[in-house]
Amino acid sequence: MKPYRLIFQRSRRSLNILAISIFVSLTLAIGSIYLRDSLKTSIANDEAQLAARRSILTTKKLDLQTIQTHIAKFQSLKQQGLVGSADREGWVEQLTANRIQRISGGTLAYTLKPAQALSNAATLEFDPTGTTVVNPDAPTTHDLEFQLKGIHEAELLDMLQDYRNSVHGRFRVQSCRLGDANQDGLLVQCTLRFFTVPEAKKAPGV
Amino acid sequence: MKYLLYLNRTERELWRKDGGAWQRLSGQSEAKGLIWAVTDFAEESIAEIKAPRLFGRDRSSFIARQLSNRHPDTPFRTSITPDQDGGLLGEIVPTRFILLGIDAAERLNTELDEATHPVAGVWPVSMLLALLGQERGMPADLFVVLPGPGTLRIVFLKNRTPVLTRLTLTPNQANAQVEEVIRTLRHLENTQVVPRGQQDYSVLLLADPIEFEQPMAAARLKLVGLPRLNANPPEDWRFPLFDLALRSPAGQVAPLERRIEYLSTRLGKTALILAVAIAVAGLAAIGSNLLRIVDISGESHTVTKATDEVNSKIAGVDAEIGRFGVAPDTVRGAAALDEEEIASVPGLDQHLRLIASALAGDPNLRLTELQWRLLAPGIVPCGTGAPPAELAMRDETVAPQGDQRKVEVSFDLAVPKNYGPRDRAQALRMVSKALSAIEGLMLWQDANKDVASGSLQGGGAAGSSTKLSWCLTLPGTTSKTGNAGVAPL
Repeated sequence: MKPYRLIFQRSRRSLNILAISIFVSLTLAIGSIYLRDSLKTSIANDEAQLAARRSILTTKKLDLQTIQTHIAKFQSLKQQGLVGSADREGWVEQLTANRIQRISGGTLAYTLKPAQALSNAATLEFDPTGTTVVNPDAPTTHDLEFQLKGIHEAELLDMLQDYRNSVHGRFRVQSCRLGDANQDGLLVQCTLRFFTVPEAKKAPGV
Repeated sequence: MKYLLYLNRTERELWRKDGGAWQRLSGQSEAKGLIWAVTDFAEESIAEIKAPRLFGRDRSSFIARQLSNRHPDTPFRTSITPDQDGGLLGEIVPTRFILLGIDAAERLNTELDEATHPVAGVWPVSMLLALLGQERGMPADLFVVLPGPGTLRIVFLKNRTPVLTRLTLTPNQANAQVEEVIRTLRHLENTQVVPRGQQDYSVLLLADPIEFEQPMAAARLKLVGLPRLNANPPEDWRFPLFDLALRSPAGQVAPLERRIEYLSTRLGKTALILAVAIAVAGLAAIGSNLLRIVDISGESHTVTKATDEVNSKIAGVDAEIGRFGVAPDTVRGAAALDEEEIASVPGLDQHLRLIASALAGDPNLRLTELQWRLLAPGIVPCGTGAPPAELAMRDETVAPQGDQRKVEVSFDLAVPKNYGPRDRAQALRMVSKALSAIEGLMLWQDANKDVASGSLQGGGAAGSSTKLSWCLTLPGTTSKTGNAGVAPL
């Protein structure tokens, strides 16, 4: 037998102990490093989740604050018809009623155009193909065009004020043209723009 | 306890180092531990060889062939690599080697076979002497001389490399021993190892130097000593060599078969020490990691607790929001929409009053047509491409209104037919002046300027048929400008 082999054979016990020591030490060291790193990753994820939850809490608190601040106004707007489904028939009926109430003569013609989604960046969404679509929960506008003959300016203003007070909806005067004056009065062509906000089916977290 | 077996030409001496002192054991005593063997035989030889630049196994095979050629009958042979010339290349690929060999194999084998304990190695005394001569402060060319009982060992180092060793039967007389040194020098000169008569050589004498000083001076030999030994000369000049041998220096010549026990023991000890060191290092690393793991677990518990608390708060806030039965975005959106699109828009009546106030200066003026409309931001009012020049100069007025909602008001004015050109012009100036005085109002079309810059017509129906039109814009929101431009009647 070669001398080198004899030397290793005679010191086999110590070499075995060395090998076991290396193996056990490496195994435990690598294992503990793996466990430590796993826990580090885990706690990093937990911390990120905590930060996200804190952010959500802040947002929710702001939401609550918003609701608490604006709920009275919201209820009022809802009662006035801004929130909820559009009472389109009611709007034109009320216009006719107010015209009759305020103006003895003259003729009224009106057109209530179809609802249009309020198109601004906040109400736009993108479908999976990247095409821009309007959010179905976005506010809508309804333009009510009417024409009155034989009316004076003051009567128009009073009629609009009455209409604003009595109609179940929130609108603004978008445009008005007064002209063609004759003995009976003016020809008035106005556009009123109604706004409606669809009411969300359910509040988040409820 | 360490034992040293000293073998010379005639004797076998067993020494034991005990408490820092060397003790010679009697002839019947046996070693009880590892034995370091030192030989002082005439058959020892040292030779310097030069090899081509070879690498790896080629070089080791070359040296092995040289060794077997020079010492064919003994396994007690080895080579050492001295300091090389040639810088880094010389260190990487050495070309100078020293061959050592003890040709008294039979005697050595007999002595080693009789040893009761393993042998750590066999060192020729020539090599130990050469190592002493290579100590720091020693001359590069040096004779190292060790007188023995009726013998004289001479080792010559050339440029700090042992090139010759001799063991001569020389009487223990200074003159005779100096003559032997001189004889060795002549041999080196004759064999052209050193140049003839060109320098005085130094001699490291491992003996009491008093008797040697005069004959050496006469022979132009210079006595030198080891500084560490000069102050405290040893009882026996072989003891420094014995101490050196116990450190197992280079130059061991025993074959591997003779050292199996020693090397396996040493390997085993080294392995055990390494095993313990690795285990300790591993435990330290594991302990450190475990401490960190405990810390992380604590942190994880804290984070989990904090997350639970936050979740609980979120649930509470959700419950409070849920009590209102409406989504926050709906509330926010409805309030914002009402504020921005409805409540902040100035009323038609306000602006009608404004126009009325502008015309109030002349009760005879009549509006024939008025158009009022809200303009979205970015829409050019009055169908014009650019604002009037004098308004464009007022950057602070025009620019901010460019991206805001505006109200466009345009109207046509009827002047009484009985008005002459002067009255007519005065009425137009009055209207334009009154309009210009309204805060936030921008005149885009001004009948007064149109008439002033155009032809002056009159007679028949020409004057009344001219259209007198104004077009202006007012702020379209009341939130920022309040009721700007709205003057009480």
